[in-house]
Amino acid sequence: MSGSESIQGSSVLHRLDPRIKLVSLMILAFSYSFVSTPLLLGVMGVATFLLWTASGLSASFILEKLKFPSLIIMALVLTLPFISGETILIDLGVISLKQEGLLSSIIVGTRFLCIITTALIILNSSHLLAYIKAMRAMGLPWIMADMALLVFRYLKVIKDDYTQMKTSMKLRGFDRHKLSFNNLRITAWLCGGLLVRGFERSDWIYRSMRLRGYGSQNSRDHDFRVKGSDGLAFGISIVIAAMLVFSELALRR
Amino acid sequence: MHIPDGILPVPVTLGGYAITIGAVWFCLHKIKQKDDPREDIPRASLLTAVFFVASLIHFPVPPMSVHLMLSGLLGALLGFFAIPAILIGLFFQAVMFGHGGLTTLGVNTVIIGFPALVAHFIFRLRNLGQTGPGKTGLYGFAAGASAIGLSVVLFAVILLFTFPADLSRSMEQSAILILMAAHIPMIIIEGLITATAAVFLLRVSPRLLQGI
Repeated sequence: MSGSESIQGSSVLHRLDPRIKLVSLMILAFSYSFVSTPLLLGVMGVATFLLWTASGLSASFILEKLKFPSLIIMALVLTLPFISGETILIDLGVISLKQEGLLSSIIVGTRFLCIITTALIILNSSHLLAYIKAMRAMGLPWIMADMALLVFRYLKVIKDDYTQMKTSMKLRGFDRHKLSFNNLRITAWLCGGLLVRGFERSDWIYRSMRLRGYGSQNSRDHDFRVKGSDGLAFGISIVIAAMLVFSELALRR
Repeated sequence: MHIPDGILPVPVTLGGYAITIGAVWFCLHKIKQKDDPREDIPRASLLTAVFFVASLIHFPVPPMSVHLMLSGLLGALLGFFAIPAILIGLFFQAVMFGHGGLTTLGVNTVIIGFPALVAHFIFRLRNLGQTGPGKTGLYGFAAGASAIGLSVVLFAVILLFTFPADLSRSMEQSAILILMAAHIPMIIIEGLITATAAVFLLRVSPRLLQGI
């Protein structure tokens, strides 16, 4: 999420208020997941393409992020045309391609791609910390906001600990590609070691946070300001979402 | 065991959010009842970060490899912090790696968070009577295996009974059975790792096992 290309961009999307971007993203994501008519799937695809154009992000950046699509989605998209439905399109002997399954596969695959691409574009147009602060400003409970900020702050530190311990294990001959009781035990000790380090570190982190005044100021204070462009972006999201939902309801009838 | 965006119908994803919001509210209410709830936040956050990193550890289970979840251990150690921690972890996974989804964040929290809380109560039974490495390992195994087992059941039920495609009843039953059977090695692996890690913590840092 913290790809440098994304956060350093200067597109309209990058300059929008993170609160507006988050709310718009959720509205769009839910309206996309409501769509199941082929015509509206196309509209959704066009909207996603236009958003990508407005973001100024390179195609390679988006494709790199989409490189590992969900295994469940892959399994569903590949198997549904053969296991779901009754209308046979192509009979291949042992298996047959069915119309209803193929349609479900297209619906699920398109929805997934549009939602994940929209999320990738929007979430990569500001730093993750800005989004956490935006959520706090919108009423996220302080315990959740403080936890999210601390988890984000210490992820890299703990990842470094893990890499260091993994390297030491490898140097001592640990072969992680083998499934054995001994390997499970060593992995459990590795997890235990990381937990002990994290636990001990948390004590002095709390003390230093207290010394810096943790808990004495209102963490909901923020400097976000809604501008005209934010209102326009929010309005466009609402219009797209409403159009998709109402068109879907009308077409279903 | 993350359900991605685009599969589930909107009422199910919204229902997932509603249940998650209720569960988080309840957990935060319990946390705030402590004398100084802020004191536990760095501890819960760092342990959450450890669990997030531990989920990067992969194990070869032919023909593929599986990653650790450790939701049972997380539940055992974090108690009521488990559901907020899992929600945060899933949000980061969705944002950083595209695993799971944003519309399904609530449903995925239900699938992983509730079994973690159940694991917390199972592991707490260890405190009845005398505790030793054998008992800790046994309850650790029960917590780790049951958390994954329950998650698999919830995952299969939600995915198959709310899925928008036409599947015959026999097909649904076969899919559930295949899904469950495919996860048995993972249930055993998680149980063993949770048991061994719990015994390790009992010897090295027993304070951690008392929970937050």
